[in-house]
Amino acid sequence: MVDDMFDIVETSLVEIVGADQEASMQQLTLYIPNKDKKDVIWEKTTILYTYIKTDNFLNNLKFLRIFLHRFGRETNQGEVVFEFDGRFFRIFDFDENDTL
Amino acid sequence: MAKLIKDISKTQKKINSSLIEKALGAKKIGIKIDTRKAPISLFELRQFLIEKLISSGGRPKLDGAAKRRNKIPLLEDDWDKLKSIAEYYKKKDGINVSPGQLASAIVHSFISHIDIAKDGFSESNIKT
Repeated sequence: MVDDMFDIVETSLVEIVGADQEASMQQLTLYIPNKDKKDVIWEKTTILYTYIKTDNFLNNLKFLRIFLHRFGRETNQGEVVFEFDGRFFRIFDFDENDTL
Repeated sequence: MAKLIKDISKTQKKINSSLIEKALGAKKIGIKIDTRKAPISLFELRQFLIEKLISSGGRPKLDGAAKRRNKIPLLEDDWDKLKSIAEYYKKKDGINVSPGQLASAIVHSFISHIDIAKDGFSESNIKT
């Protein structure tokens, strides 16, 4: 067992480095194609990775939904995809309008 | 005795993926990747396959693949995962890729980040 081979030193890295908040564990990845498309045409996309602040993210999920669905509608995407916490999601059915 | 640092920092609350699915009107695909190690994603892998798979009438070939067939031992669980992923791509995205081609793409994805000097393979020459 690893614990038998080492002296375990428990420490809070957040405190040591002077981070202003707790460590984020989950990552959101957005894929933004660079042009409109109607057919399934694979092309280079802009990929955005970000760690999230949990409470802020939860409070603003509805705005993220509006963005993703509007993006899919207005740029004629066949689907909009994103990843969250290592899980892959696809949006096929877009909201007909911005809903809150 | 050597010391091992164990981080006991408090972490942000974790959000359940089912909540994300419902809140964003999305469908979750049943594959999970450990993104703590690297942001490798199935989507990027899919992009690579789309660009590199060349149709030749039968099963598509991987552009740039060596003609010599290499035998690479794989763990049983890894092979099962590769088969599952290949089946997923075929059924969901219509990408006809074999588990072996997938393995080739994943190996390339990792090795392409390693730079080895022309004059030899030594610790001082390896850049990552």
